[in-house]
Amino acid sequence: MSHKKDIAKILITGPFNAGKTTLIKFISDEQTSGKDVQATDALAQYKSMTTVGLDFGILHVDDELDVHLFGTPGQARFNFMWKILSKGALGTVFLVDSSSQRAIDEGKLMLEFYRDLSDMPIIIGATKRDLPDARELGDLACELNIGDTVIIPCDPREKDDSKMLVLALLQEIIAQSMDFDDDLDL
Amino acid sequence: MVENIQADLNFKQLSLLRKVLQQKSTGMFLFDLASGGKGTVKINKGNIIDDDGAVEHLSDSLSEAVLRCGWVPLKVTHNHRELDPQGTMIRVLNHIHWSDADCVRLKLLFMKLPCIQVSMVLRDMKGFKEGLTYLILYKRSINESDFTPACFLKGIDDHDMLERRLKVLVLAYCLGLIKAKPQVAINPNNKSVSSIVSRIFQRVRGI
Ligand SMILES: Nc1nc2c(ncn2[C@@H]2O[C@H](COP(=O)(O)OP(=O)(O)OP(=O)(O)O)[C@@H](O)[C@H]2O)c(=O)[nH]1
Ligand SMILES: [Mg+2]
Repeated sequence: MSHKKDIAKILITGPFNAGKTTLIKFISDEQTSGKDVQATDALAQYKSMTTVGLDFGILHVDDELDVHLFGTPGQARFNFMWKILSKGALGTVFLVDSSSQRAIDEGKLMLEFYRDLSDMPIIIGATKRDLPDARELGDLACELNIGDTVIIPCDPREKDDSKMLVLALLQEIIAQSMDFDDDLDL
Repeated sequence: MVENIQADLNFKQLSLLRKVLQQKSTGMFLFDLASGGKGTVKINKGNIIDDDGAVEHLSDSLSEAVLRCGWVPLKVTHNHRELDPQGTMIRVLNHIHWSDADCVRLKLLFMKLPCIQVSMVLRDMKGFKEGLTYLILYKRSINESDFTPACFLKGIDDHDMLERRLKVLVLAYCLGLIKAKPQVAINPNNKSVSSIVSRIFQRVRGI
């Protein structure tokens, strides 16, 4: 007898070339990538291949529950997709390439747009910290104007870092949905 | 009037400091040092009031044995400058040194704590010498089930390394960045957000 599984939705977004496709590959059991195609417009000078359309991954949690991961395209002109997908989503992992000024500028606008639209939990992953032009975490937080949002340094090419970002988001969501007793007396 | 009097030589003032930095009222944290000194730190809704020696006093309260400490409610009437507690604690901890004996005492206190959940709101880590160690605490708390401060301190014998880890714990503890981890029942029939998210959490941890 077949029954309908519950589906939870998590979004992975952020400016171009941040590591979104890389992260979704690690976190999914099944995955279809939007086409990675030759970048043609002004982006081409930053990146040769970019994702057109959605990245989509499924993670099987148990017999009753799947997670759908949506990677929305990393250019502000695709913000409308985030708007559509964000309905009913648990939260968003927002990745930004800390070594690219153009990505950071774009990231700031995207974050503003998202915050105006919903109060969905977001955590920010600062990627490419190994590259020579990478901003310090504190400077990046300022430039992105993140307010109280959690920002975590990471390299999505490392499976553990990709996991950690999603876990960090989930922890934020749990924290927001629960009251803590403060019983931590030393 | 001094409340919450503690008479033994230990770091019990940390529990009180944590409480008063978390609360929404205004008052004065005061303490007597075993060495004979005293100090006061005024706190307004979690922010430290920048008056005579507040930062030095805070530093004393964290670096010396405290004989007793307390909290006196106050009314703040005049204008005053307020210091953000995170930046202030970071500045203070950057300059503190604990003896071997202090480290052992602190370690024993933290070993008693249950499973914790750690928040990552340390934006100003650049200014915190132990920022990387904080990140280790955060990552381990997320990746390891049943993570306790004892796990973080276990097997750390080198003085400098132990001191670094303790500073991170003191900072996180006093600022309320660590909390006792809530127990969420993992049950597929429970459709609450926290239950669903907890199941996903377990699954992702196992990837
Ligand atoms: N050096 C370095 N490279 C990284 C890091 N994270 C990702 N990359 C690489 O950056 C490139 C872009 O990663 P993708 O996962 O394609 O990024 P994306 O966000 O999907 O990019 P778009 O789809 O174009 O928006 C890949 O070659 C990754 O291996 C990092 O932290 N450091
Ligand atoms: Mg991509």
